[in-house]
Formats: sequence, C-alpha cells, structure tokens
Amino acid sequence: MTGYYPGCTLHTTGKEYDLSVRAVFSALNIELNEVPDWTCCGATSAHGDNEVLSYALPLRNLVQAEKAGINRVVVPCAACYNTLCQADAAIAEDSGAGRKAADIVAETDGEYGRGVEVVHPLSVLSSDDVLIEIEKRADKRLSELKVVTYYGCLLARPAQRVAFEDSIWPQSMDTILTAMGAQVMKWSYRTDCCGGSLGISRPDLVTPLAGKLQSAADDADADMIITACPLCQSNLESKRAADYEGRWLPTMYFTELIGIALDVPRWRRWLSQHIVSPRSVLRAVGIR
Amino acid sequence: MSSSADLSIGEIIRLCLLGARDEVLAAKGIWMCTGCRTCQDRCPNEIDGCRVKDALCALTKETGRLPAEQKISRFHAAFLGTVKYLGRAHELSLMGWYKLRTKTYLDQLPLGLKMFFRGKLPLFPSTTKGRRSVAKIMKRVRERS
Repeated sequence: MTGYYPGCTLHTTGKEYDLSVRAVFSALNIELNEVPDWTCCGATSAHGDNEVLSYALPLRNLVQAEKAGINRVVVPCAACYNTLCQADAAIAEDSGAGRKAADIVAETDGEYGRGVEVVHPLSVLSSDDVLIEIEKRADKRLSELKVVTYYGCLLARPAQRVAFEDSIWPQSMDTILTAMGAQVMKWSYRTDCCGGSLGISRPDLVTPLAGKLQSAADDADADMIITACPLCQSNLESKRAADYEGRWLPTMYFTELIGIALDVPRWRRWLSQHIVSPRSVLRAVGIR
Repeated sequence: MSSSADLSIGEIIRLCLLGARDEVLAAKGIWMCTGCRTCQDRCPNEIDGCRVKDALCALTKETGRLPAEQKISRFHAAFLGTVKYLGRAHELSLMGWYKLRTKTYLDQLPLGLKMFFRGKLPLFPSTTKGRRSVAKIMKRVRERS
C-alpha cells in the first residue's frame, strides 16, 4: 500500500504543494493513504539539537506507516524526505544514535521492521510507466513556458543515504517537464542552497542566496523557477531584498505544472496561494 | 553560507583538531549553517561536517554557553517547542514564541500578513494524538543524553 506523509509545512505554507501532489496522484490513479497519526519529522531543528532526536522523530512515523500496512511512503517535503531517509539508514547501519532512537520509539510506538520504502514524488512521477502516462495525457499547453529546475539541497545530500538520482546533476524534474513539453533552460544552480530555515531568524542571510538564484534564473532566460521543496519555494518567492534590481520570477512546484498539463480539477485554486503570483507568466504563454 | 559566516566548515574542523574549544563554541558559523549538507556529501576525507557542527551546537548549549547567534538558536527552540506540545510544528505559535523571546515583533510583518490572508498560517494548529508520543520521545531523549 502506498502511504503519504505530508509533514507540517504542506498543511500550512506549502499548501499548494499538498493540493497539487494529491490532485496529480489521483489523476494518475495512484492511491495515497495518509500515514495515520503522523507527527513532525523534526526537520532542521531536531538535528541541530540532538542526533538521537533527529532519528527518533522521523522514525516514529515510519513505525506508524508500517503498522498501517504501508510499504512505500511518498514524502513531498524535501526536509521530511531527508529526515525519514536518514532515520531508515541509521537503523539499517545500526549506528549508535540510530539504535538509541529505535529503543526509545519501540517504547512509545513500536518496533520498526524496516518494511517501509521512503520515496519522493519526483522519483515516482519520473519512473518509466508513470512518465509515459504523463507524456500521453499532458496537453502540451506548457510548450511556450521557459523554466529552470531547482532541486535544492535535501533531496540529494548526503547522496549515500538519500539520493535517488545523481546528487550533483539531478534530472528527474527536467525529465518530467520536458516530457510535458516545457522548455527547460540550462543553468548551474540546481542544488545551490536557498538559505533553508534561516528565513525567519536571519532573512538578511537568505536574501543574497535567493537573489543569486533569481538572478541566475533570469540570466538563463527563464520565466519561472520550478521547485520540489516548500522551504525553497518560500525563500525563492518571498525573500527579495528591498534593493534587489532585476526580474523576480514566480516559483511554482513541479506538481502544479503537471496538474496544469493534465488539467486536473480546480488547479487554478493553487495559483492564489502564491505570494508572487504566477498568473501573468502563465497567461503570457496562453494558460488561463 | 561560508562567505557570510565568521568561520568556514574547514576552519571549524581545524579548530576542533587544535582543541580550540572556546573559540569554536563561540563561533557564529556553527549556527549560520543552513544544513545544506554539501560538506557532508563532498568531503574527500569523509569528515561529516554536518554532524560535527550539530554536535558543536549541542555542546554550546550543554556547557551553558550563550549561542553566538541567539535568534537562530531561539528559532530552533521555538520550533521544537511547538512540536513538543502539538506533535506538529505550528507557525503562528512558533512565531509568537520566537517574537516574544527575541523582541522582533514587527520583523517581516507584511509578509506574515500576506501569508495569513492566503490561509498559509492557520490560526488553529493541526494536531493529533501522536503528540503524546512525541512529548515522551523528547523527554526520554533528554534523560538518556
């Protein structure tokens, strides 16, 4: 059974990501069963606090998934995906901290039998069968849209524990977007950090990083940045320095574009969730 | 982040090797790290820079030192605080807690309002009974550290 772990952010600041993932998977007839009683994965804050905690919090969710009969869990948020993969790896490697985390979670929720595969929607949607289906059904309305693909950090690093493709030159998003007819422009910043969770405490550190990425996307002649992480999306969209000169491109999730191409019900709702509206860019290429 | 930080990860590791405890635990660089995991992924000597930096942050707090980047440290504490009580992160509680502790009431208010009116900052937290497990997990991790 395929499970779904939205994580905290997809219920709040990443709402359009949650809506678009669910809509796209539904349109492709891949059933998603939300992990019962899921809780926070710990994100960046847990691993900066305590290593055992950084494994225990996500591990609890793997135990919940396993108990529900889930053998593969789809995790859209890159931070959640990273922590769940790392917790699974820590148990497999039988590391000291991993063992301590497993013991604690065994007391509160149960033993983990390593029966859950953690996957990102990018790897599911770029897999051969699904890609053929998407290509067949996408109506090529994206053909005039010029985008750059931004993967961010946590989907790919540390490669050994987490990456489902090349961590320096990932291609899954490019493959999906190209199959749908969009123009994917070349650029070299696909895995450069956006500033992550520093957006609230030190926005002054995030604005130069977001600015650098925006400027590079502009130089690549793109009209939009496409991402797969809610924190990246938020930083790229809203962390514009007051003195930034140049175009500030809208940032959308890759699943939103798939939803548009498949013309899923109510995709226009997602657009009003954005802080920087993608409407004018979409309208300019004929998508209303 | 190394261009903005006082110390790069390479310098942090070198200071650890030299035993410069006071200097490294007073560094801003260990807090400014975004956790991008580039050092962890690429070090040719297979040093896990992320785990070193995480351990240094934990050590700073354990030894009662003041984190060099208070706002960053308080943000993470606020995040974990909402997780402890609700089982899930709740932005508004987190922001409230963080702003009270750092007195940054008006910071990024326009953005916050934009997000609020788009339904991105729900008033009421999404919670679940698993929050009791989360609280227990956090307590036991503390006790056994």
